[in-house]
Amino acid sequence: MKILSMNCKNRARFQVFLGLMLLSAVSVFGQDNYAFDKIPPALLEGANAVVRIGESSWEIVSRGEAKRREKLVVTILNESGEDDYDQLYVFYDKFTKVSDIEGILYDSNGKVLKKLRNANIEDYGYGGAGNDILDGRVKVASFGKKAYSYPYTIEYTYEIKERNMMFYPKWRPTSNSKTALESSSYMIKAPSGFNFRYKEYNGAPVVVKNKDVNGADVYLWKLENKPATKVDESYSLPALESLPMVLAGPSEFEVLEHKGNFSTWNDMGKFYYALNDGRGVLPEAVQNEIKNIVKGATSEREKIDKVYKWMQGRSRYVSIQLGIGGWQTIDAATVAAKGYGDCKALTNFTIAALNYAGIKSYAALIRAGDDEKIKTDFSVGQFNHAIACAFAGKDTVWLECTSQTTPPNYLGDFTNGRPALLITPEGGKLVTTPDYSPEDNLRARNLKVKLEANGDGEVLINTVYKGIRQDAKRSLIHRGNADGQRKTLIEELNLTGMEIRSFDFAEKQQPEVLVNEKINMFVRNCATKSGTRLFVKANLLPTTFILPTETQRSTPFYLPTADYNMTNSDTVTYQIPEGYKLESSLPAEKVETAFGTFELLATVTGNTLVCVRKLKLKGGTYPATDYAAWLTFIKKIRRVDRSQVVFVGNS
Amino acid sequence: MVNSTPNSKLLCANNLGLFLLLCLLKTTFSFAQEDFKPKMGQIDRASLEMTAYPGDSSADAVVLYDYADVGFVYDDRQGFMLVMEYWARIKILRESALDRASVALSYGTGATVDQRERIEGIRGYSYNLEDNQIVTRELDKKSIREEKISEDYRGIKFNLPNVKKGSVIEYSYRRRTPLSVKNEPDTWFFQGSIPYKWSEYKIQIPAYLEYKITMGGYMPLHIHKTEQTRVDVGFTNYNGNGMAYRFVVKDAPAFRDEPFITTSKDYLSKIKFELASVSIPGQMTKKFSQTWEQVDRTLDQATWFGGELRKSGYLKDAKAEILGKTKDPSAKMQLAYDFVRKRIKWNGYNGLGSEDGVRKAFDNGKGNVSDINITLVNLLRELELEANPMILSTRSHGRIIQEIPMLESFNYLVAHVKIADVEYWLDATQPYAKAGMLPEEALNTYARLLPKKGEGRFIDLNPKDIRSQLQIVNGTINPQDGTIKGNYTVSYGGYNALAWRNKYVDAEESAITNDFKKEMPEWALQNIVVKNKSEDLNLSVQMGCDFEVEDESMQPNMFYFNPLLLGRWATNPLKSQERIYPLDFASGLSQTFIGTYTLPDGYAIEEIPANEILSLPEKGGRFSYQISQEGNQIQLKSAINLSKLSYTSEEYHLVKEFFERVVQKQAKPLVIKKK
Repeated sequence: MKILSMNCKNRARFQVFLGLMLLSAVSVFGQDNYAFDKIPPALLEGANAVVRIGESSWEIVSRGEAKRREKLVVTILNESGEDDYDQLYVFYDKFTKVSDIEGILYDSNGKVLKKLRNANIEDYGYGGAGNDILDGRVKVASFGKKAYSYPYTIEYTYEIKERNMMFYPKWRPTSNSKTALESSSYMIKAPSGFNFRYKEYNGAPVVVKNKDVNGADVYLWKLENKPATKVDESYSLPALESLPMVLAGPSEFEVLEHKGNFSTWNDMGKFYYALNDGRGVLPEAVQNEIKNIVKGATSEREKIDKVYKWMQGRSRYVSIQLGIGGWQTIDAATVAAKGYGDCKALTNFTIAALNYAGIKSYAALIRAGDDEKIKTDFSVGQFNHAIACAFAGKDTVWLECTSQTTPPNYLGDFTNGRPALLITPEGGKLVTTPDYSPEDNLRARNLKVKLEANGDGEVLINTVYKGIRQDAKRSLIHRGNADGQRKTLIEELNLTGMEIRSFDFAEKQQPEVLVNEKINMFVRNCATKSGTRLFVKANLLPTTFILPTETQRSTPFYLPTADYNMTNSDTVTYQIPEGYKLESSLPAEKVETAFGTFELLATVTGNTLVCVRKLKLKGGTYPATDYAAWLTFIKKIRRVDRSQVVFVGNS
Repeated sequence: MVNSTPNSKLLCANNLGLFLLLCLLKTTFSFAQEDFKPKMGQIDRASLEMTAYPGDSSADAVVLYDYADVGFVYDDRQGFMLVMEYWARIKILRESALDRASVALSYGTGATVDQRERIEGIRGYSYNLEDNQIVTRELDKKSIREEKISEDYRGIKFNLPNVKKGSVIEYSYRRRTPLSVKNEPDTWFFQGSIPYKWSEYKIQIPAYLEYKITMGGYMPLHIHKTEQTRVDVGFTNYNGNGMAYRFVVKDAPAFRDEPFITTSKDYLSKIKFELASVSIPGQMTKKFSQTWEQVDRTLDQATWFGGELRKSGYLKDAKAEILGKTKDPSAKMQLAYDFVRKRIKWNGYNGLGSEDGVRKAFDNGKGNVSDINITLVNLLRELELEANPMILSTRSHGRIIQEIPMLESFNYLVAHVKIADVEYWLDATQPYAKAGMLPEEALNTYARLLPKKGEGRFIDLNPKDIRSQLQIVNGTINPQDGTIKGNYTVSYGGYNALAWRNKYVDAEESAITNDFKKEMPEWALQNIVVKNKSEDLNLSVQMGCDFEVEDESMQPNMFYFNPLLLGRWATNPLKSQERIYPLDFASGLSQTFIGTYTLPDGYAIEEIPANEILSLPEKGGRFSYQISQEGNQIQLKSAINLSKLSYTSEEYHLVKEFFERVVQKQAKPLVIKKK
């Protein structure tokens, strides 16, 4: 939908790498020996690579400075492992100084084959598009063009001086399921008594605290002998809920001339507020424009809708990630003048405009993306996006300010149903954005099919999409041209011999957000004529549920709510041609499970066949013991969806 | 369709409707045509009032004006420079096109200052109608951002202000590129993903630079003007006569991407240049490729091509090893092919030329297609086989036009071997292709064979292999419990085998069986076996299993049963109703299903689909569906064969209809009743 904004996005990428490449100047091992045969055989099973040593250290010098050291020694077993590890990426920006990237390549006996030279390190800017303007750069190191025979071992080390102390590295050592770990550790070193925070998740090792020779506090997390995951399961839990992870973050910190404290969400909100305070002033002409726009509005909600529409009509999204951690917004007057800004700038501009309209509103920081969440019990910057939250009396009205077409108070699966940090003058307040129930995400479809004796059919489809289900349709309305829309419909309906004669979309925003789609088509062999019989599908339009191949399961399984919270309600009315009589119909089906319900009812009256199909699903996490029932449920749906009502001709 | 001048030569490259225009013209000729020349910084009200583009009411933007004026100047320091004045004007009709107001350009910084490219004179405007007044906003120079992209490139980004639905945006800039970096102007496309109302390309070429100009695509030229002119390059010695060209394409619709094409570049309207010769009186005369013979010679003389073909010392050991094993020519070829495939891994890059020399690639064990296949040719020649390089253009690189000799047309190289009048094509980048099989991507109409001695020639690249699949099911039907039990085998041959091997030879056993199960998720499978994973690449891969499946519609007294248990064409791969471009399948197809089922005593077939045979014209394709009953056995054989690979857009309907009838026929069940 949108390129994620705020610097945290780069952070997140950075931290993925961190998770893989842990280091320290002093190795935890004594004598390093990277010979292949030293790897415990159990670690080779199903692995593409084995991390021999992964050491990550974060040495806090002061509130305003830290040193990061990374060391990664990884034995590459095959081409996939090579794709994952043969290059080292070090992301940096104006606050970070990278020094001492070193690398050594060893053969399978642990003998040095090659050392990294400066010429092997390249430096790139990223964000290639014109609407992607950022400070971030990346250094890429690799051992060049030569092919090395597997297994071989690469060692990379580097050091970073960090002057943006808003973020501490996160540790997630098992993020690559096809990599085995011999040893991986994360060390935080801080001046004695220095206050910062950390928290372990999902079975991450517990910290071991110590003092070094100079009296500094040393915190160490270490994971050893962890084999690769054997089979990638379907329906796996989100990484945030399943992978061992250590989050760390500052209490008090400094970045440039700014001082802050992230000890609580409230503190974090205060910092963001202060950083952006005074950036909401608009020129008088624009103020007057706003006052004009809301003139005559009879309710706060109406004012909000009007200001939002006005904002959408005069601005566009351009990702601009410059300066302090991507957290300081461009001021509202500049956005008003240029007509573009990133998510926080457009949010700030919207809030400023709402303010002049006499509406209370706040910026909200959020982690956007399909099924993205944050850990609410640990206040560190886990956000990558900003939206606005306005108040109509006590009701919240959520506004996605980077889109020109989203209806007011509509959050799609990009930001729905998750924590957001409201930035109020009193500080940050964690709230939850509205979510969609299975009933909300409705697709109600009505098909009328007039069958000919040879099986051809005229088909009229009238479909209403609601909730998240209308997202894709609305995007099709706004993004596609007629040609592209037709193509997409053909792909979706996917009936052989179909010929779309006409189609039409209508959008509604009040009283609820929905899209109405109407299609008129002709389908050759809509029913299958074979000999004297006519085979008519109960469910004309295919809905494929993929049946996973794993029949057993030992861990809980997860059905993402964005995909599974949904209701389909389909009615197909067939007009059967003259001269056919019913040979076999279908039994009524009704299945109720923990995951949802499924119903099919086929009724023949005279020459009319009506098939009513209802499917309601509920996403969420289910215990492993429910897995067999889930498979049975899908199989049932698949089976019923394939079934046909048979008519036989007179001849 | 094309306005050609009397002296131009209209060539029809093939029957695919690709138009070419050779434009090395000597005389002046012009048409009285409707012309359009806007003014930078000034907009007409009609463009702002437009709410939908009449030619394509659903387009989210339309390029009103796309213009380039290319010339040459002489710079004291940098020598000859290509200078392009670029100018675009775009109408934003819908929100989804707002990103077009964000512009990113990049230029090469060059190895030395002399080779530095420059982008200068950026200007930009946005126009809106506000309260029925035209409001013009100029791009603020301060918001032009310049950044380093990599060692060799810098980028320039700017965002035009005040852009919303309904705006018109406009920008222009000048790009100066030293000829020492790039010999010729970039290819100009008159078409894009949105409609182009007016696309214009002008170029003035001094007489001492000779360019070969080719045009392609499906749009006619609205204006095509060629005249003699005085060319001023800013340096007296080099001023003189030259030619001025002007090409305009009007009202080009948005380019529509379709399946089964080679690459969109082959279908877009475009103009392309290649430097043929430089002849500066009293200074230098240099011919670049002009005839195919000259292309061949250019290659032969290039260190990165001909030079590399003359190296062989590094292959001494390999030669000795192979000669120690055999003297038989075919066996030598096979061993050399195996040796190179194992010795040098393909880095995924194409290109005619070696990167750092074949020797280096050989030592590194990794190289591009040229490194690998030149090494193969060298080794084959060392083994005293008649082996030569054969150059071609991959499908995604675009078609070669035989009428227009151009070195740039090629990007791939394979080895050609002739043993006792039998010709073989070898591509050692493919670890799992049998000797003689080229990957489908390399099968693009023709290749040019470059013999060691004598003239080069074109060879038709008719694929020798097809995508073949044979599925066999033997089953017993049991209506009492509604099950079918039996065994199933599938064989993948030709390109299907290659695809299978590329995916699975190195994969874990569990991944292979898992993917196999996914093809029939409802079946209970046992005893899954894989045969000939890669032992003999000349033979097919086989997979097999025992199975049991419940058929939902089976009832003890009567049931409906589709004997095509697997491999059914569920949908027609050709979906659009009309087609503009020819159909181009990379390789042929043979897909056969044979199912044999045993019925228990006391059951009989009540109704059976009729046998059917369908054909495409000129034996281009055939579908046969034959079902028979003998005692309590039913046998179905369904076979689809496609051998003709390209069809014109007029023939599209025939092919679509053919496929559709396959889908329909394969959906038909038979009816079985208890006696």
